Amino acid sequence: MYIYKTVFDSQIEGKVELINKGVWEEVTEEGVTQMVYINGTLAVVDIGKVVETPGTYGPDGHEITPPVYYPGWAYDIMSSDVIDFGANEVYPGDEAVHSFFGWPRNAEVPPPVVNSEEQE
Amino acid sequence: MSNLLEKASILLTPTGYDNGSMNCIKPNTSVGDFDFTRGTAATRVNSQGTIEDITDTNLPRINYLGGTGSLLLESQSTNLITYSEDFSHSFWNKSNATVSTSTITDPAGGQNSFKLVPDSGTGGNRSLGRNFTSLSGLHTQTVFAKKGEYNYIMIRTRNSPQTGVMFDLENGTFNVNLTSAAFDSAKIEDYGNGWFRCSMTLDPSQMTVSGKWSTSFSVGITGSETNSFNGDGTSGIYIYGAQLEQQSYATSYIPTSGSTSTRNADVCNNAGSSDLINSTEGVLYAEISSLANDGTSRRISLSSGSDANRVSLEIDETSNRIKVFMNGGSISAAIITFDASDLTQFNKIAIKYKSGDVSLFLNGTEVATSTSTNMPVGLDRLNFDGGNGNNDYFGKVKSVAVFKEALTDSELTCLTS
Repeated sequence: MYIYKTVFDSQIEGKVELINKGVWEEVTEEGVTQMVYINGTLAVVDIGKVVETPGTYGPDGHEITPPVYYPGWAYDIMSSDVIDFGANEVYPGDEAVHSFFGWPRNAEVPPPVVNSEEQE
Repeated sequence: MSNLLEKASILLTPTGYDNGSMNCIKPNTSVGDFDFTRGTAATRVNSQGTIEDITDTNLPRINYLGGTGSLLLESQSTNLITYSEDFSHSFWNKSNATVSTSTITDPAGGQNSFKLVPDSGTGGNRSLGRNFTSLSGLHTQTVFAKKGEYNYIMIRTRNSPQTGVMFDLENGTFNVNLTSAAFDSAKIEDYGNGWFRCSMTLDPSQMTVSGKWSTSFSVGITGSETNSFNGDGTSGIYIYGAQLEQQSYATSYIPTSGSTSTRNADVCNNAGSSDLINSTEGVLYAEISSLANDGTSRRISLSSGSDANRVSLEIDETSNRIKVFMNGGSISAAIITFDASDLTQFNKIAIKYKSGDVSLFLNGTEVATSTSTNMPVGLDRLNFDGGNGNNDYFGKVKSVAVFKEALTDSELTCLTS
């Protein structure tokens, strides 16, 4: 099983790129449109914007300072397929804001090993 | 009845299972078994009545909430609360209230609950809470609670418009003390040993700041409070296991510790073969309960691997509506539509299919018929979906059976009684 953590410029760009990668497809059936997992996909989690600095709030919930977000829109994917997400894949490790239940926070496909010749 | 079950070619009760497989009583070979995948851990209420982690990622769950075991099939869901059990963590905002660890037995059989104590001042929130923003779609907030010196807990919003439900931990009831356009529904479930799971469902898009939910738990003393929760600084209630999820109802508990966490959907398909399923006549029977009237289509089907050839039972998007599909070579509309009284309770449902003779039996009564002759061909699998990989059935299952012959009306009456 592979766990991928990805970030795209926007939610819609991520949705389209996951379609292009064969992760899911948009299906309209009896007038209802939904995203359906295909191939080896077990789950896609729409993480959204990831908070870098939390906002602060008063007792009644009013915002004192707004949260600051990392750029981009995040999706986590669990699949039995090997998928190359290229530069959209990220490796937050233990800093990940999301995990799949029963899997460690840093469970993800490790970054590709760059061989010594390429490093030179 | 025992003779009737002898006639079944596939019978799931469910009692036997392995990691990756939901086993049927009939046939006594693996041909009749369902393939089962989830890919993540999950929780269930075990036969002792406590919440238990199922760590094998593809192990089916027999859930005993309410006392009787049934196969629990749920959709994917994410607990957005990153510290679901550690209420002392700074993740939780304490407003004129304290939390302290407790040694009473929690719903999982451990000692990981907290005591929530409002301080001795007057007025104010005296709550435990957290701010969430950018939420879309219905969201459900849940927490396990047990009475202490006080008998009530309120789940509410602290942002506008104020919305709140007061839960009575003595009698297992609730009252909507603060209602607004954002309020959707509430529920209280008895988890035994004095613990209740309290839930409130809200539409964050109806909040004054759309998508924002400043959720909070407050201790009720009289049960009639709306905004003022005055304590004595020592008395309180016990809480455990909070969850916020983008769902119109509460799903099984997903514990978290440091990050949000997702339980994947339960997928249970591919039981049977063409030798065990007759395409020209037969019966599809199920004793099932919906998790909620959630506006989705959930199906159990006999098919050839697509929805072009299928006999399927659908729990429809419309609340408490059953649909029957029988397609032969092309996709067509439902041939039977019937509105039941309450599909969130267990119902015994049977579809008899035969050319020109299709009927729906519900709890001992033939409730609808069709003379459709659009018979499917090549039926070779029993799925908890629509036959095409979509419209997964999510709910509780006590039994599913397939018969290779069209049973008589008296047999169907007996089967569904």
